[in-house]
Amino acid sequence: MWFQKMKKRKIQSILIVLIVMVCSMLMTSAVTIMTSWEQPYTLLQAECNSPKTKIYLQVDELSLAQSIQKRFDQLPEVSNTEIIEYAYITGSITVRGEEISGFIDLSPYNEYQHKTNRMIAGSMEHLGPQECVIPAVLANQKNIKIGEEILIENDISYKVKGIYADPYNMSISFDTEIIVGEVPKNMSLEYYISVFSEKIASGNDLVDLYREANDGILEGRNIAVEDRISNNQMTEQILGGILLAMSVLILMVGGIMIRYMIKNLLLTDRTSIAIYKTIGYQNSHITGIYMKLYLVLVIIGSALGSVFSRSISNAFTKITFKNLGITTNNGIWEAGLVCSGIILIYVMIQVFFVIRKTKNIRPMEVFRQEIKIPMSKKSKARENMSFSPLSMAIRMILRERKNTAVIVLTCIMAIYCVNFGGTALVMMSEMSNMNYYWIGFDKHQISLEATKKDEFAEKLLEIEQLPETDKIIRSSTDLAVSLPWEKGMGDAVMASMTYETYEDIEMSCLEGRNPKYSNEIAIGNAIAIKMDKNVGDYLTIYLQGDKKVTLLICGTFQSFYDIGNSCRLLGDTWEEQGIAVNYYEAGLYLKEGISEESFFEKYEDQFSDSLEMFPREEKYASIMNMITGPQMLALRPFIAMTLILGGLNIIAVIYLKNKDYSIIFSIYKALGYSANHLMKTNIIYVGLIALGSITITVPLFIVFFPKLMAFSMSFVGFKEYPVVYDPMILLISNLLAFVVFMICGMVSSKSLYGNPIEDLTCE
Amino acid sequence: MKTIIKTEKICKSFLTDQEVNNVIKNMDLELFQGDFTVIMGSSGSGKSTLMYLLSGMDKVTSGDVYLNESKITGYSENKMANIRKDHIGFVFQGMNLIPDLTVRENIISPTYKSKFDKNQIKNRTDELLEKMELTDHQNKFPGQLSGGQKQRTAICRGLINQPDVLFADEPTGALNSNAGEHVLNIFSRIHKEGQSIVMVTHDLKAAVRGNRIIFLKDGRIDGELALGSYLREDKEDRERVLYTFLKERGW
Repeated sequence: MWFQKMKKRKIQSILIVLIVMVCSMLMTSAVTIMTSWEQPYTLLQAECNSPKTKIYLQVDELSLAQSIQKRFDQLPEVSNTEIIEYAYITGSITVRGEEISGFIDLSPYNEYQHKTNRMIAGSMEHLGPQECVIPAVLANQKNIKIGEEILIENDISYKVKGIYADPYNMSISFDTEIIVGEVPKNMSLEYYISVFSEKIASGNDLVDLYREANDGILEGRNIAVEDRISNNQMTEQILGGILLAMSVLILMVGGIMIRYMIKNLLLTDRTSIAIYKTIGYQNSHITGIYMKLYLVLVIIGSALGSVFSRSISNAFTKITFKNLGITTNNGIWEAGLVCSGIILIYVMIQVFFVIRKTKNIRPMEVFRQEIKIPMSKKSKARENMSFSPLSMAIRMILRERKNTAVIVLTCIMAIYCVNFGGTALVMMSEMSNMNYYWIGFDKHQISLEATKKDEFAEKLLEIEQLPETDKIIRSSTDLAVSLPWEKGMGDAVMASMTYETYEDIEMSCLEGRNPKYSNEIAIGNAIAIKMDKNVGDYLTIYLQGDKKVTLLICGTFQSFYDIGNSCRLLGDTWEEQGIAVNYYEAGLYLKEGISEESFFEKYEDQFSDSLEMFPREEKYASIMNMITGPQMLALRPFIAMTLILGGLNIIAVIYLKNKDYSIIFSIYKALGYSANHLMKTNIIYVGLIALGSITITVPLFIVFFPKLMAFSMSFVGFKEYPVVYDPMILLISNLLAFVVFMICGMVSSKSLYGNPIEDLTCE
Repeated sequence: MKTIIKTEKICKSFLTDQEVNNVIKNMDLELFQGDFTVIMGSSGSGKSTLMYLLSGMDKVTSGDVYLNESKITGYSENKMANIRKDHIGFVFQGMNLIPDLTVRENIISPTYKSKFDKNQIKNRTDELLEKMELTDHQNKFPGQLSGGQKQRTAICRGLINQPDVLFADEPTGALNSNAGEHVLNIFSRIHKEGQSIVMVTHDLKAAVRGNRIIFLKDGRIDGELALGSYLREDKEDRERVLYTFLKERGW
């Protein structure tokens, strides 16, 4: 019998399936995005026999590396250690003349560590001195093929012999290795220690064991494999979280919609239910018929949603999966099953609470066509009541409050999502202009980075003397700062930004200010939360591993730099502890009226031997790309989905309203109102609701969008999310939503052009 | 006598389950101003269909319909809507009042862009409410009215624009005998005042109110009976004549 009912109510059934499908698509894709990484990374880690941790030295001395290695070897849990040489590329890296920005090292081939890397193309065997194997992330970003040449610092070129993947080299926002036959002689070598273990899975646990055995001291930075994997997934986790939150909201609205649709269906089914009761059907039988019907519809919708969710999740994951050397996402079925289960339970509860009301249908009341009219309605007729489309639409809104509430709720949800998508897209594209804010450095105009470290200071003095130069602010990110170790804290090292001064520069803080005196420190909010410290507290840290100092926290800030685990210090702080600060980076401020282009044109070549000069917007471009890239890709389908869902809901509401109103519309038609008049009424009805919803939603969006974004990034210590709203984008987004609603209103009102006689006659 | 509605060889067919059902077949008919025309016939004879074709609620499959000598066949949906509003009134068996409008609001509902100004509409509404004994109920919603009150409201609504013809489809079909009688008295009264009426009915008591009876059979006019104007005293005679007329036609 349920099947007969489904056949008779094709459009309603299709709408329910579609609404459930879209909810399921969004939720499954969100969960897939958040959960589908574990297995591929675990497999990759196992396949590559990756070190459980890499220890980057605080002082680049081979003897220190050997000493740490020896101490690790003494731990019974450690199966092997390797000292790996690497040279950090400070100059340019180009392929086909195109520059690659990122944190990239050259590392000579080490059989134990590199042999088991996953080879995506080519091979790593018998690497010649001028041959290299590059990580897939690099190959994919610049579409580098085997056989192409990579030019390092405009000096040495390497021929690409292979492309590999391993858990440590999945993002050029973190140190990424190009494995080479030989590192150029003129590049200074640094060392890290790879620690392998068969017994312990966590790199941090291994380091805890090391520190326990060595008075808590580790003269290096611990990059545990689990931390690196988790950092690689940062963007996906943020976006997955936002999508999940949105999909839950959309599901709630979808549930209300479905409830509303079923209520309408039951109203039209009152007579047949009454007949069933008269001929002896029990309430449970009748409830069972409807429950079966909706169970089938919800199962179909959620199953289809799970299948189609692949299109959304793939948009997010395809880049990372490509970097992993895999193409398919096997996790989708588990996620689909879980989400379908949640949706099924939620929707069926909604359905049950509506359907159980069938027990209140009393056959005699139905057959007598008793209609209960709420007596609270207005009882004074208006003399000048108008029947223009506008008046009729307004009357519908005012007298059909429940319908209006459902449609307004739907509109608000859809409009919020569209505004979210539009503004998020703008924010993503504008993020590189605000890289100083997101990464947490000063807002200079031109970035200067040393390519010849010994000449850099002198060249900076020369630039300082140029008539175009207003000032130069020197900085360094090479100095290591660590927190006193406590068991279970993971990596104790935090990234530092050391400035010669923070005076007269734009470098924002969440609370307090940047250091003014040598006994002050500003810390990332993530550190402040981790250490439970506030502005005004004191924080004990180690400079270069062994100089213990206690500094006053003068400010906190938020930053993507080192996932928020960073601090700001003055050069004087180091120097007072006898540590020389070599500034190999600087921010150049030009005098008023001097354009960056003209400065580049005039001086870029003059200083190109010793330093790299580039627009500030390109600084830390790899980190910015890591944050924005996948989001840019995924937001478009997300906007499309929310518009489709919003549109579907509008179609459903208007369709049901028309169905509900079909007799009334037929009466109006019989009285001489044309279908066009009634269509106009519906369009104005939808239009007024859409306009009202936009009026409500846009301010809500402006208030809550930064909060939602800040919340989604709170795990890297973000508390604020400054948004620059583009009025044009807001206008276009809302206009788009408005137009979609109007079209949906029109499409669902097509039935108005039918013949009214059937509704009006008693035959 | 002036012809209000005229049909020329009108046909109406419906397609049901791959089968063409010819409900009205080549019908020629004239309706005259001031007449109270009653259309009768057994179920399926096409009487309701004919009424909806005459009133412009439905479209003919072939043939032409004229209203006040203008051919309305082929008019656009908008134009037909205007015709219905300005020239035609309706009373349905199921009343079909708009449930969220009060009695008064229901009555004025067809007056959007009407030929009357606001004052005229107000006066006419008051007059109709008074005449139909609904003044005390004007602020009630349809759900708060009895069947008779609802039908009287529907009659007021049908008359508000002073239509050329008032069509009534089984107007007493859903009423008890008292209420039905009351409604029929109203029809007789407004007919006496000059209102042209076309009524479809099965009910002999209702049919005798008309001065012209048209009997349909299988989509064709099977016979006509002129009864003359209704007088309460003639009621039994008229019933007898009508009964004989119908019996001859297998009623």
